[in-house]
Amino acid sequence: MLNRSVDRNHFRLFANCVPVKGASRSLICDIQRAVYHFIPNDLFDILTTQANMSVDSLLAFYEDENNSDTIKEYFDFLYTEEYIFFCTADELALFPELNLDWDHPSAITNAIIDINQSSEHDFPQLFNQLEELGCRALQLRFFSDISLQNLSEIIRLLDRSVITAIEILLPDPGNLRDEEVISLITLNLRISVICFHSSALTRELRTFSDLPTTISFSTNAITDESHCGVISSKYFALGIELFTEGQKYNTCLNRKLSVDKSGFIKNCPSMKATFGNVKTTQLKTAIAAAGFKDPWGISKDQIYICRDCEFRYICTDCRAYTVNNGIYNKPLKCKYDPYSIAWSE
Amino acid sequence: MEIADQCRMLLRVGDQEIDINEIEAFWHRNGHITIDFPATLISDDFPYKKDLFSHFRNEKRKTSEYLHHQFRKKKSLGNYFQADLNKLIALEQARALSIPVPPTLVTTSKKTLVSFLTKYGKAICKPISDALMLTDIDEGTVAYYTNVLTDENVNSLGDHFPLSLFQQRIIKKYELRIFYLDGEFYSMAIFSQSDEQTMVDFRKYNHRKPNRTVPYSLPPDIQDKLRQLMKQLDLNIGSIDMAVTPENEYVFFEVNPVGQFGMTSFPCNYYLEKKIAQYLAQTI
Ligand code: SF4
Repeated sequence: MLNRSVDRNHFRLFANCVPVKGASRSLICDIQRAVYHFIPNDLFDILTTQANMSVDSLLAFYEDENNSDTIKEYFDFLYTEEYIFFCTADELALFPELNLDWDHPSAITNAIIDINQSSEHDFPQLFNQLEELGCRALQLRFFSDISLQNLSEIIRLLDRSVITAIEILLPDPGNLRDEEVISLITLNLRISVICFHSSALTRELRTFSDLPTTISFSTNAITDESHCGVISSKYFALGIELFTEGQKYNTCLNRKLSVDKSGFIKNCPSMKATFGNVKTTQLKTAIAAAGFKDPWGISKDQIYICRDCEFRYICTDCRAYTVNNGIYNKPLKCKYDPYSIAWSE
Repeated sequence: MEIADQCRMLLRVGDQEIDINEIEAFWHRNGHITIDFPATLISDDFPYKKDLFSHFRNEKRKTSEYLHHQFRKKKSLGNYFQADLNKLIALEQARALSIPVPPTLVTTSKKTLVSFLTKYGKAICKPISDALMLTDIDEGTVAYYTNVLTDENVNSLGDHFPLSLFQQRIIKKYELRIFYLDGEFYSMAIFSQSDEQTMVDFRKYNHRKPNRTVPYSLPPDIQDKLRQLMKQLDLNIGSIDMAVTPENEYVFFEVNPVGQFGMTSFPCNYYLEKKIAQYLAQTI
């Protein structure tokens, strides 16, 4: 059981452990250690509205309701997990909350380019423009066959680039030898993920510990942009960048740019609105066009149901496939109900 | 470089030519400007070779100093001339401003060290200059920064040893990493769990958890003193190491004039890179 020295009668949450309240339960998001913990909503209240009360007065307050054992257990848990520390009343003001503002120097931080057999993208051109916009993460989605030879040529264009992460999805050409995959990746270590879809086999290849790349094979066929927008606890990510970005911005579309398989510039290839075609429109012109940045500001706090969900700042989002196509409605491919705290099949 | 009726200075970087008069802002983060000399052919048996090369190096150093002198006239951050700040001078100046500093001893004598230990209890040992990195392909890397001096260490010493710096070991409630930028402080508290006063069930403590690092509001009186210190050291940017003791004393350890800010900025979400960019972009 927990002991405190007598003069430390107050507690404070470490600033990077942020409680998030949902309809039926809350989370403590430990941003520093990238883990989260469920807590009951009454503990959320203690940690927020009653945070300035001394521990003794809190215990006394709940004594009346015969709950002080529960409160002691709460504190024991919070202290053991290092979510809180004890301090004097004077020290409280020395520990401000974490600033949750988000910003980035790049006009575009991430981009998707879709490619199928009829695409006519001018890659050198596109990459130059992305470079100018400061893009850091790029996803290339090949819906139809491409040889590793042709892919290598595209990747080589990014030998020198501000892009730090490249994700590639392509159909499994079949009969791949490990060495072929490895030599593709070593061509450009920016490749962070390579996923061979439409594969006859599922295997994980992560045996090369000195390579930073995740290589995977999936039997699912990704033949167009509709294979996206899935919300799952697998994709939850707890980090200061996503957590702060999610406070005011959309966790999928903010500072994103997409070029669909026909060359149309969009927020997301699955969305209807287009802002010109790369053949005739510069990417920077499209971004500056009226409406392009509108979805960037749709934060989870503005989305029905999501705004009542305890996962809202660690969850990804989707604005292309939403319930009843409402732009402020919950992602269609989310199976979680924050009211009953249940995931449905 | 021409210092005459008209001062002209041109720098060639790769195939780019930069007119120094056109530079508006300058940030000395770390390092030096290397000036290329045309290859000088001196035959190996030339007897004055060593001295001559050393002379060339000095010629370059002075030229580089003059460049930095020019840069400092612009909107500038960092101070090339203070980059190699003397820790002992910084300690003395802090003390003069009545900022508590750990009792410090520089000696080569075991006898002196032992009486220091008798007076101040446990001590740490750290370099007077920079951290030492010894690298050998086969042996690996050995780094020497701050170490706690054990009884065993002291016993193994001969009567005399190479010049060493000792400081009383300060009990820390939490450590502070403070980034100073143009009069403002961006501080982070590190809970290094060295606080024996916290009565916890230590068996439950998981040592693999990284120390908590959270934003900290430096009290205004400490800010005032540190601001004076930075002014005296002629620094408008730097990283300050301090600790808060269980008695709430703010103890100063050192200031690093070429300190990194990422380790404070990222966990505390201070966006120091943006603040630095804004500072440099302000028109003079
Ligand atoms: S309800 Fe919204 S925030 Fe919650 S898991 Fe589903 S998509 Fe994410």
